[in-house]
Amino acid sequence: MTPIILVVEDNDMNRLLMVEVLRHYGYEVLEASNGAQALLLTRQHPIDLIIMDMQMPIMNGYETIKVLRSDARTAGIKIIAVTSFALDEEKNRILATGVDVFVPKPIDTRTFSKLVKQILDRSNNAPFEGGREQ
Amino acid sequence: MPKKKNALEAINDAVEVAGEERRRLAETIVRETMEQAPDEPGELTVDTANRLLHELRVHQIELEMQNNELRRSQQGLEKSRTLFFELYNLAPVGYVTLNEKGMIVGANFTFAAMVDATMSTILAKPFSQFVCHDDQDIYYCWEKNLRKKNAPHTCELRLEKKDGTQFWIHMVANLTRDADGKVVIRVVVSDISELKKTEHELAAANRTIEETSKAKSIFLANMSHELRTPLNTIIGFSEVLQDELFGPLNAKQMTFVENILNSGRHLLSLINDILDISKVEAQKMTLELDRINLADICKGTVAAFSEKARKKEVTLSYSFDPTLVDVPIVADGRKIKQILYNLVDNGIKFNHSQGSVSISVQKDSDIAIPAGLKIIVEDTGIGIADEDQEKLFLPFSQLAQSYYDRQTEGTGLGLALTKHLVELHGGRILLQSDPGQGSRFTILLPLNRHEPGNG
Repeated sequence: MTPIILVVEDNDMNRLLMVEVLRHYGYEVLEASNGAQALLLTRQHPIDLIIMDMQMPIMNGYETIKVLRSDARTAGIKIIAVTSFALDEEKNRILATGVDVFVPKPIDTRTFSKLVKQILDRSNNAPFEGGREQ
Repeated sequence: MPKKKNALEAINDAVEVAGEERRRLAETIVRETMEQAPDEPGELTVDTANRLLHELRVHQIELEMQNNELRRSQQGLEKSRTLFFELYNLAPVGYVTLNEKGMIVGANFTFAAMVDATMSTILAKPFSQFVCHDDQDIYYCWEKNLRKKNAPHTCELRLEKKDGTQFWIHMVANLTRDADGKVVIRVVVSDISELKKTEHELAAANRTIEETSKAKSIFLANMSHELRTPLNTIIGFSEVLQDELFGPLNAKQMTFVENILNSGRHLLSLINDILDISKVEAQKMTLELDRINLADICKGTVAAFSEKARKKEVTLSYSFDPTLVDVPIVADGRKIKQILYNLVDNGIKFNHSQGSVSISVQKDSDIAIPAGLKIIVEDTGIGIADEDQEKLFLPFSQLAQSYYDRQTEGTGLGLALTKHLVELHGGRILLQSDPGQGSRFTILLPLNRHEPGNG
């Protein structure tokens, strides 16, 4: 069965980039431009993985992850957090939310699909750091 | 002549008797000493009279000389007293003498003026009476320590004037004994209110600087976010096109995409440099220490720059001291890589075609950092003039601008950042260079400094 991935990103072009790349690699992709829309989609579709931008209007990544994790129906969905804030405080704050991986922007389209596959194949939820070499 | 000696002795004995009394006493002494003289001739011959007259004159002169001496010594005393008054009472610092119980047994006018009190209201009062309520503890400790150590001791506290005004003083004192052998504490009291005011102003200024620096950090974090978002699109779509995920490109299109990608990546590295230098300045840069494989990092650096070196026709090489292969090296791998990337990048950038850049890792025998590591990055490039070398490591330095302006891109931050990263590891970076002869950057890193349980 094709895994379903939800891309949550407020910037249209960045969302389009991820959606196109993931579709290219054969995934079924849904998209949302804020956390509220994302939550709605998680109620309607059996989503396997969420690519979550942390800074968004209306409902940001932190708030969304909190709701997802506290609901038994969505608590098990894997999450890749994406952020363009590069300070260490931000990184620690994101990892503290219990996401599977943290990826700093700009994402590396070449390693990103590998990372997605890796996370989907993984059974445990131990967080680790991935992303572009700086 | 024993008679005369006797007379002088008698005069000396009578020196304290004043005025007419003295005169009368003198006459008596003369009479008595004359009568005592057994060999005094009965008649006054001319010879004897002349001799006596001569002696009297000598006496008179002697007396006048003594008189002068006395007057001079009195003037001296007067001068000393004035000097004492000026030095002690009008000194630009307060002097206070305390007895063993902390009571004021002496004070100069300056001190009296400081606390705005008359001498009579100061003397025989405890010094603590003038210390403001909040600083009584400081005073108590100071006095206690003074007794304990029996050595000069200082402290800073606030005194209070009659009207309640407080002011800062600095006290220095020593414990000694007065002429009667009693223990006394001699204290020098300086008014440091102005100094304290400056201190407060400085602290306030520092707070402003801290706030500004914090605002700057927030601004940089936001700017970084705003710049990364469109860069993500530029780099990401270029990569997707270059990888021909959605169909093949012709040669020209491929070149153009590569240009977009390179420019995007360059912008990204600038943003990262600016962010890193601001982290260093805010002292937020920390090391993530781990065992590193330095040989792999060198190899990786050469691989990463091979394309750039090839295009510029620069030979890139590295050598690794074989005795270091099994030596554990603990450092922040990412930052060591950043250091090497910066130096190698510069080495290629400021080189001629047919030039070379080499990385060499050696054991360091320099006594300044024993058991250290030496990483040398040497190039055959344009070199740096002596007068520019010290400016080279300053962020945004003029040199950095002129140095980078002409042919090469860059923020002028790379070397400043490199220096910070080396120093964060407890190391040093040295530069030897001559214009036209190339540059040699030497990084000295302590080896065991961060080794857990070993250094």
